[in-house]
Amino acid sequence: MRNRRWGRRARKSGPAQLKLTSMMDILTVLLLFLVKSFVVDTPVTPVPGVTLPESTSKETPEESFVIAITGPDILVDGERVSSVDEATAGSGLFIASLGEHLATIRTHKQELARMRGLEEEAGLGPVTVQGDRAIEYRVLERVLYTLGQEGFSEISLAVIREA
Amino acid sequence: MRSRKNKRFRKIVEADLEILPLMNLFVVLIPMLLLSAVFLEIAVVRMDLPSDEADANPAEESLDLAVRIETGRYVIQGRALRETEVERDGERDRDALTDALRDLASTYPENKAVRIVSHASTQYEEIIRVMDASRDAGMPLVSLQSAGE
Repeated sequence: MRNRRWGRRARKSGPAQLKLTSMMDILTVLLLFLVKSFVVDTPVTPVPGVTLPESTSKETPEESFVIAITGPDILVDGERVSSVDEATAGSGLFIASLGEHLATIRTHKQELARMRGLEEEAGLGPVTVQGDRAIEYRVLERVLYTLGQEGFSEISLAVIREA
Repeated sequence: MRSRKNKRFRKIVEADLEILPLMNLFVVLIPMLLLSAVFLEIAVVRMDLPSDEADANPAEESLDLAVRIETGRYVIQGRALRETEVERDGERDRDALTDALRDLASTYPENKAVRIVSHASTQYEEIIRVMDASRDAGMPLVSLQSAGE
């Protein structure tokens, strides 16, 4: 009796099969969610060490070079240029090391523009400033002033879009 | 003949869907999308710095509206305007400031500029918050000014 039952059962089930339907459901939902939130390319990626402030701004960032102000350092395109302490040391607003760096970038851009045959100065393009939410106005002021002195006047302050 | 047809039919009904290729695709796609998913959306606040040629002195008839960030309060001041204080405590402060600025914006609809006057130790987050408030109130042209210690 027992033997017969065993035999029947084994024959009926055949090769073992996984029940994949519920897993497929999960995967489909997950896939749809991820495809929906898929962004082809973000022109601005947050610099490590910077916690951006939240804002209600809806403007999308554009491709540009990035000045990041982390707690202790000022970085241009990921390269450390000056420390915040150095930058805020004097009473003057101009940050010399940052200024030098910006001047190099400006010469590069102007040379590129000349090689492309653009005669008139077409502006230096936008600059994105990624400041940590806890930095003080004295740093921001100096960075913005230096940018202005070097001819960069289109400033974008990067923020995290509030939900 | 008939019985053969029947048997064939039964065979088709019992057939399982071949979902293994689909599974393979999913297993590859999901990690890829997860890796590239952006959970923090970045936006920007645009600001134009004045060039050297720009007139440093605003026109006489303009409102010259300014928001001073003080400890514990915002002070809204402007030409021919009574100084208004808005309390500054935590999350609700921005709404209060937005309301106050919106009132001013409806009184002076042609005014689009706000100066944000901050102290050296004012936090960046605070400044962005005031920018948000003034943009929400319909005055998107913000400029920064130091209060001078």
